[in-house]
Amino acid sequence: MISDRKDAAAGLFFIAAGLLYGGIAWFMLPIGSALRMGPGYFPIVLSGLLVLLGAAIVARAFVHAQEMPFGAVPWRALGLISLATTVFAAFIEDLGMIPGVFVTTAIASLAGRKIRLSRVLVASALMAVFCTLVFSYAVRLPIPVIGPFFSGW
Amino acid sequence: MELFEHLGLGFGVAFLPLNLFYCFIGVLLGTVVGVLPGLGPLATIAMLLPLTFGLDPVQSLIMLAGIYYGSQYGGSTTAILVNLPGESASAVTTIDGYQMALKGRAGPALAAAALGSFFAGTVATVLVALVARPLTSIALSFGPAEYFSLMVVGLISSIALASGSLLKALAMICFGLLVGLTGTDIYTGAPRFTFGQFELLDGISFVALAVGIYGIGEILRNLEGKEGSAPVIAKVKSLWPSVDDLKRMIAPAVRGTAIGSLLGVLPGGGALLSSFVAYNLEKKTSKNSAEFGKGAIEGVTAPEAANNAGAQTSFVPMLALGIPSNVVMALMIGAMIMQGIQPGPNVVVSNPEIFWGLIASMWIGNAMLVVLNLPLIGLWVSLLRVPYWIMFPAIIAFSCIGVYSVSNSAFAVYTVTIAGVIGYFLIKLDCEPAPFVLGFVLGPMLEEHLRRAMLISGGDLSIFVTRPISAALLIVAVAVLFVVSRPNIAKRRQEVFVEEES
Amino acid sequence: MRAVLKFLATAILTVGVAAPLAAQENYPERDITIVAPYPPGALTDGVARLLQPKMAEKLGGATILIDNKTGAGGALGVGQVVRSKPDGYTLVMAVNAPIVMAPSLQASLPYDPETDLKGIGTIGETYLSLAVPADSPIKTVDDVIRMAKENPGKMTFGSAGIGSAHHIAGELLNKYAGIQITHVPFQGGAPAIQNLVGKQIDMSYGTLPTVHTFVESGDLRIIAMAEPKRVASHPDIPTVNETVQGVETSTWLGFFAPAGTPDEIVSKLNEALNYALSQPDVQESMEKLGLVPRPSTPQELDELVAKDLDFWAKAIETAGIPKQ
Repeated sequence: MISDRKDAAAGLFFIAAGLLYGGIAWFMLPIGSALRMGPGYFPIVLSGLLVLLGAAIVARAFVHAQEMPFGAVPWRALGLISLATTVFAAFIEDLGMIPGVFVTTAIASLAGRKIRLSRVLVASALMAVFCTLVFSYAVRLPIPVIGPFFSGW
Repeated sequence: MELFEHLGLGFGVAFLPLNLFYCFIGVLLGTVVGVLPGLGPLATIAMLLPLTFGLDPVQSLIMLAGIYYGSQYGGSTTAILVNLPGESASAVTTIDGYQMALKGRAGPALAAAALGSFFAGTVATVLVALVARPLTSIALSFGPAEYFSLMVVGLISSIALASGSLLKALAMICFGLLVGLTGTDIYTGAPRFTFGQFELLDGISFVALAVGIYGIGEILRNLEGKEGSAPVIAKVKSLWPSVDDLKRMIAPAVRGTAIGSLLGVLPGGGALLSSFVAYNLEKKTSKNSAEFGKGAIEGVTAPEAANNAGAQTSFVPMLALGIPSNVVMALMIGAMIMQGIQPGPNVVVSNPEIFWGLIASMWIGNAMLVVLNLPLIGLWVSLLRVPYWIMFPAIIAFSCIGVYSVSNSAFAVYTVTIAGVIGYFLIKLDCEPAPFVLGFVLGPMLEEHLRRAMLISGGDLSIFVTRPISAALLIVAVAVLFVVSRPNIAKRRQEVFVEEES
Repeated sequence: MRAVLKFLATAILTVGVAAPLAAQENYPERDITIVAPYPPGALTDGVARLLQPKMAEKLGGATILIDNKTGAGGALGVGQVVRSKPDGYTLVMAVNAPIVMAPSLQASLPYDPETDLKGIGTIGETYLSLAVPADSPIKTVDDVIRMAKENPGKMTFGSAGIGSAHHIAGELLNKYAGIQITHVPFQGGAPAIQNLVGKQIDMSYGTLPTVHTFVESGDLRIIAMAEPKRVASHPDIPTVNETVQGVETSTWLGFFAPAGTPDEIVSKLNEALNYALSQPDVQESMEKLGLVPRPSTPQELDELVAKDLDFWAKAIETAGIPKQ
């Protein structure tokens, strides 16, 4: 019976990460010797340590009876915010600063609890103008103000 | 007096009108960008870095120092006003600073941060001038073994930054070290842990990682709540601290400065550590300790002073040894390298005007910070009126632009997303990010020196204990590990964080 | 709602109309980055910074940034340039080692010099020395061999990284003198020499420009040159070759663009480089650094690369130095 799920989950995560990195190092990288360490030597030592620490954390989860609430995960916000940053990354070059920031902010705004279309539009427009003034004109970042996507218009 | 001669040389350089101008521009831009939520000192410096490219080395470093102080103050401002620490060091400032802001005392809190920082900056400047030179001469006796041990001390100290379990903090360090190794092996050129991604050959962008973990992670936590918006703020009473406030600031500022100056020299999170230690000490010794966590002005002054003193003295290991003691220093080193200056023992000999000019400009940067920001407190306080439904999308947009412009690649923005999501879940599992981030930064250097030490010693691990400096450093590491693992201290660390979260 | 939309439209129009039209001038129309794949203070970095202002002048006042991207004996920086867009804005100045020697020494080199790089022009050549701390008991190459035989596996030599000329010189000496001195790679020549000054290693190879200042300050002593014959500027320093046959290297600096860079841009850059190299003050500074200017055409550099790749492949195979 696992009494602290959070500890158990964290421990398992560390074990998995250790196995992944250790596995890559073990199978794909030259390891070398203690004298001449290859690119795989140090990662294997670290991964080993990580697996051990992860195991200790899991083991402790059985002993400690200290259940702390994990709390709610805002799945919708998580998805929308990830989408916003992804859209920014993928399309900023094509869209340019004004449309790019507008779209990004609009998607991110939808992650809020209460969504009002007017608020979404105001926030997005404000940010688009503000970012363009600050980053395109003041700091002179090399992002086009209006991207090539609109150049056909 | 050699000290005055050196400071004279330094101020002679720093007081040149053009250099003063660049310092001012640096502080101004640093504050303005740093005050934007989501853009901590790190992202701010990274974003403004290109502005310094065209300048000569002295000017560009002076301007960078200005940007650094400005952005740090900007970061404290967002910590106090919107409870968003721009970097781990200002995480403590949020505890009492934000409480003060909620009670309508944002003005005094901001003033306390500025004045405490200025006092600390003044003292620390003199200290750096005194200590940097002797330290530089020791630096040459630092071989790979010493560097390795030094970084181990830094990593172990970072555990003190993390709440909760020692095991988890250690695991986060290991995980950070591993992730930091992503890229190309600096010895053999072999690609490692790139998962077939071409962009990862040059390693993971640090700025992207930090923005993801601290920026996106924080927003997700805020959106967990029922309302998803910032709580109600009391009416702003007065913008300026009262005489009583000023009196209460003196002792914490002095103690904070002492702690910050000492720990700042320690590479690997010394400056970060200092604000936590200073806060804890104040809480234990203050006669107002009941007020801590509910808006005590001491709880803002002490960590801010410590933070700034530490920021100042953290230039010492960078200038003397060429190793970054915190993440911002890593960027400063990058900037110096871009100017053709290899940070290390040679700087003080080969570029004395840069060395002493930089030290003097630190103080000037601090002074300008006060001059610039005290009149602007009213303006910053008015930022409190920005509703959260604008604030959090703005943070996301700023973060995206910041990261994209720093690396000029879409890949870095994807990194923000991934780091944000993984970081959020790890924090939910009570795994603090600070040790991870430090491990990430130090990973490649730790390996480089370990491998070199092994080559020099013929594969004999005892090199780390037979060389006196290295042995002493390892003893320190073990001592720190012992201290942080003692149950009562661990409990106390937890207290600080529980209060911060509530 | 309508007010909102109106505000929005006005705001976007205002900012949008003011958008600067993309500049349609010819190359270069933005900042050029030259990667120097070694840390500052070393030869490559010094030369790049020396040539930078004159080249910028010839290129119509363009801003040229120098980016020190260190690691893997220079292969990290060269690799970064190879992977960037062949548009003339990301270039690399490097010594010959990561271009012509590393392919025979590094097991996982992330590029093929012949197909991935386009030569712009050679810059100059310099000489590789073997140095020890000034108070070291080692005075000659014979001392090195004797002490290495007395302390097998205990002595160390520093290099600018795996695949550097320093590395080749050290391994050639190991092979042909029948000794075993441990190779300690650094991230470039400058840190290797710094560690030699701090006596972390017993000896180190280093190009004359890098070692020079420390010899003058009395910290280091050059015991020999790893060159085919004695260097004209230092006729009193013997070569390693005089004691142990076959221990010789060559060091030249070249300026490269990623393969696929348009010819017009390459020839513009070649002109700028040769203009900088022809300036008397540049030549004087290069001489002070211990570097002989060697301007060339892009074709000559490509031919030199092909020839040297062959030469080092054979030399390294003959000596039996394993890839790492």
